[in-house]
Amino acid sequence: MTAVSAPGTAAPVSRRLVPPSIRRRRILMSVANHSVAIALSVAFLLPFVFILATALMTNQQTLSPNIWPHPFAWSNFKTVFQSFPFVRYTVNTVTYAGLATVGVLLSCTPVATPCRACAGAGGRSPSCWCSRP
Amino acid sequence: MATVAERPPAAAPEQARAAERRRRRRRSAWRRQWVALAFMSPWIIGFTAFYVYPMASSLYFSFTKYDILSQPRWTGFGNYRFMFTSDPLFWVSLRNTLWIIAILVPLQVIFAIATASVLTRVKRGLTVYRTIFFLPSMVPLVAAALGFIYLLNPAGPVNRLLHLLHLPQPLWFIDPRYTKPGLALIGLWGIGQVMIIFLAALLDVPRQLYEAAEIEGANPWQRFRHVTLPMISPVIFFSVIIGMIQGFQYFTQAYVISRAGDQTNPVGYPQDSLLFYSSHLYQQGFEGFHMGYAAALSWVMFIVTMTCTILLIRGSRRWVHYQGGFR
Repeated sequence: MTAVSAPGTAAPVSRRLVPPSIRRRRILMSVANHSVAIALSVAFLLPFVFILATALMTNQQTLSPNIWPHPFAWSNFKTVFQSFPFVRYTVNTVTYAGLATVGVLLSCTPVATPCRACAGAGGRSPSCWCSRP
Repeated sequence: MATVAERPPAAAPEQARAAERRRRRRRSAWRRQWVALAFMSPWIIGFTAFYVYPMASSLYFSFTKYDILSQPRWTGFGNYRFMFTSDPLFWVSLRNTLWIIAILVPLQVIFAIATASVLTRVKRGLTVYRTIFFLPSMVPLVAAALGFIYLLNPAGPVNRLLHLLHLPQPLWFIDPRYTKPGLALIGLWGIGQVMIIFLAALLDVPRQLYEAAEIEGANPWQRFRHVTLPMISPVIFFSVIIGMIQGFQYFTQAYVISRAGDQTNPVGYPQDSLLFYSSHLYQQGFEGFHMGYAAALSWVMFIVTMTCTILLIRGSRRWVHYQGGFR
């Protein structure tokens, strides 16, 4: 956009003039791109909105044709923690994720170490299991 | 050889030293090989115990009749013969799976390229759009399937929207004709990870190629067809292969949708329209306890997936262009 002057010269940085026709076209393009992007965002977000709205409905409301919860049933979120052993399940998930991560790191890092070593040697040494000859 | 023959007096000690050097190098190479092996041993042990051994035993079970409780009984190719000649559900499940691979996977690739190229064209708010587009792929598959069961239920929000727009309102997961389009919606909604790869690939296309094409007078479609597509063809190839492999393993969404309404529904409800290859395998193995037959099914799936991958790689040489002419 701007013509950058060479360092040391005191010439003022001049803004290149964009002809109005091109400016108009650029603005139109930008509007078009943003409207497509916004439409896609709505499509991607709508399921979240619907499900969040449903999460705040009472069970009777979910069967009614209204899309928006009328009395907000915030107690649903309390029920989640009470209706099943939430803490137990969370601990299970976290334990699994933690052990899997540790296991991957423990088993894969040693494998990568000799790979790195032979990559440093040009990848041609006979101990290279990783690179193709 | 010739130079050695010309200088016999100095050659003997020189040769001995060279041989010694070579021996030492070989010995150290061997030692390094063992060190490398030792480093790899955790992975090798895991790979043997959790991949090689189960694969070998499943190959053995595929030739037997085995219900976990009693000893496996050798039946030769009986399972395979039954699969191809007298199991109608095998062909149904194969057809449904091929629907996923032939229709959903190309749709996903096209949609991912389209969303990614929208992202390359906006300048302000890029991070917001990118986050929104990626968000659905963070939803666990089971949660996504349950959510869409609600969204697409006959009186659900989607059908109400369609009603407002005076469009036909299909019964989605109740009508066998619309179950797979419903799955396609879930698949397209969770496109985030593929889209991110395409976004990186699109941003990687050198700008000067577009400038050159523009100077030559190429219109936007020609620029896309002859600059963008060849440049991102390795990523298209990658996502087609990954999509195909995952398509053969398509299971979770279909299983959850079949069973969510009523636990006693058969896998593939309604009318086997959601019976995929993996669902069939699961049903045979873990509900019918035909472990031998399930093992045979999984080996056929493995061979088919492998064959398709090899065919795709063979065919890719004609349309995949690697930068720098590599391969």
